[in-house]
Amino acid sequence: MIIPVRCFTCGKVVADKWEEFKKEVSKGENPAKVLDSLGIKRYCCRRMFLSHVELIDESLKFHVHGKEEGKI
Amino acid sequence: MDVEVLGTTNDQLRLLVREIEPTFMSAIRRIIMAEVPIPAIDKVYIAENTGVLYDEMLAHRLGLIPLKGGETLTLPEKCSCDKKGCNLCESVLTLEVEAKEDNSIVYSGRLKAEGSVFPANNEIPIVKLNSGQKVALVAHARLGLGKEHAKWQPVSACVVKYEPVISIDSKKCELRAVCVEECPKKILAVKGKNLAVTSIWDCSLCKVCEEVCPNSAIRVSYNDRNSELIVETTGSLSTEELVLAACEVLLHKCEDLKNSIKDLPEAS
Amino acid sequence: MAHYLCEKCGKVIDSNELLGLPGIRCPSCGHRILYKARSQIVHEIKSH
Repeated sequence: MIIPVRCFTCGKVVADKWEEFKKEVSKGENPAKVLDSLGIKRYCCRRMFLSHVELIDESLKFHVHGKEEGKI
Repeated sequence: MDVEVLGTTNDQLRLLVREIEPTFMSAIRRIIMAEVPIPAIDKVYIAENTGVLYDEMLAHRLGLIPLKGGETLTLPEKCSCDKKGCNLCESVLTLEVEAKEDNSIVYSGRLKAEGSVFPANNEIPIVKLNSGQKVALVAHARLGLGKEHAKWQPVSACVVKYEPVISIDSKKCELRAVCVEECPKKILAVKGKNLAVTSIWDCSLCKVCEEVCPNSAIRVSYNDRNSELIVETTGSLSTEELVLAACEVLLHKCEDLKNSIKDLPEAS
Repeated sequence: MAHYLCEKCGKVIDSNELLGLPGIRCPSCGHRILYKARSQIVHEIKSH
């Protein structure tokens, strides 16, 4: 779904670094180098980035009618 | 006992303590991980949520955000309200957003502190919203201990390591530098006519150098009298505050034990 | 009482209004897709 707030294993906060990671990698930078520069050292935290798929974007595409919902 | 700082960064502290029992260092380590109280969001009251994340997911994400400013709160277990939650042991944060455009991200910085507690990091994405979608909620933060839930664990890594000891027999060493190549931490180097260790504390005691040396000139061992404590905080408390708080907790435990022994009826 | 929302006209429908109808239908426009509306009661959610 959306990037987890913390690493599942060690509990380091990873969510705040996701956008920078995504930006650099989409520019063609080597993911390993980006992770090093972000200070993500342990492999438990690194896999949080490498294996993440931002599925919330897909889900948002089907969720357009915010208006009717919520009003009672 | 003798203490030296081996290095600090924003979130990490490396402390070298000489002449100390490894068990004592481990006690400090375990207290930092499980028994230093820090604040975290515990109860969430969601008035409106038209986003794609369920209420429970939202609440879970909010709980994991590291919070600062819990010094003024008391642990609910020790509070006069008897764990019910009052303004002495709970602090309120609110979040109210309506997205103006599609795919807009709501960051932890949008959480408004009504009490003393506020987010330690303002860049954590909480949820993504399309235009028109709304989230309105009230969150109650309280102090807790790491042994209850990982969101109250103030550290992401807290490690005690013995001092590595690398002894090089210069008579046997032929300076072929196989070990220099093979060392995964790259802590060996040839300096002049000697093999030297550049940063001993980076050694992971893997003993690869021992295995690859054809002459058995290098020996890796450790000295458990000296330990290194590595503390990596999640942001709630600084690393220095954590170590001091852990000592305080241990002192209280000893004090409690002392008092209970004093209160024992005289053995007959 | 539970409330529903018509997908087409956006009308708020009380669940009692649906009881007399043959099948699930919006009482005003007859549209057959209804959403369950969020409850007005604010529940406490434990964050763990």
